[in-house]
Amino acid sequence: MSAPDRSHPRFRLENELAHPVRFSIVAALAAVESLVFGELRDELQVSDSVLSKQITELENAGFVKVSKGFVGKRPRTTLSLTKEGVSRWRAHLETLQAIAGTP
Amino acid sequence: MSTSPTPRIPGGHPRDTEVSSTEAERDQARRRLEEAQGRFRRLPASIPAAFITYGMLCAIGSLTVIALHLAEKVPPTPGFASATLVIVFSLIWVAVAMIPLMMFRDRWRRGLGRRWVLLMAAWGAVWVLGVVVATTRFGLVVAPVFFVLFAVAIAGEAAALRSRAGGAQEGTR
Repeated sequence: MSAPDRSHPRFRLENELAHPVRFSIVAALAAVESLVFGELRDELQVSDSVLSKQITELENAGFVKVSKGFVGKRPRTTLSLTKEGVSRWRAHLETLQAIAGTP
Repeated sequence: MSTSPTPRIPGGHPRDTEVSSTEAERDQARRRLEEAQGRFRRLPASIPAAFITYGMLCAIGSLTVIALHLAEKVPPTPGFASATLVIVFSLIWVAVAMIPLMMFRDRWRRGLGRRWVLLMAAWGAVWVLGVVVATTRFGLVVAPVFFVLFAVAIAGEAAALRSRAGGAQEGTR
């Protein structure tokens, strides 16, 4: 039995971005320098707990940087892509373009 | 002959050995790209309010240099330091101009953060140069440079906006 051909672009896709919410999180963060947790939650229309869980996954995978601070006495969590996350996102999109057959 | 379980690829599609993509894969890839493109276009502020701050800073810089140039021509008056007054009020307005930027954070388009640091460094350098040479004829040459700075800032942002509109699928550039 021959070994599977791994030249297809699908093998270069990021596992972490297979989850639709994680894909949306990274897509949103890729557009901007940073987003506050609440803004991202509203943009994606998910619950705090879902977003929090997926952010933790992406943080562990090295995609997302989480910064905690205060505005006055209120805590504020700011999210941004890491440099590694930006380059992996770009590569992921290029792979999707290769699969979709778009230039 | 042993059979291995069907492996899965990232994204949940069954792995096959064909080099070409299946129609389902292409459809899903296109949907993902469309979503990325949509978020990329929609999320950042079209023109961040930071450029209002930058416009204020450039106006303050230009007027400070001109005011210092004119202050030099005011006859000395005991107890009245015209140049100091100009510098103090200039710095107060610089601080005031920065307040909205710190209080209200826009969604900055990716790449603006680095450009903002460069723009502020350029503004700081021109401001220092302007204050140093304000009392000489070079002051009147430096004052209009702030207009150029602001024009460069706006032109850079407009170019980034056009570039994003045309190449949103590239993710970040």
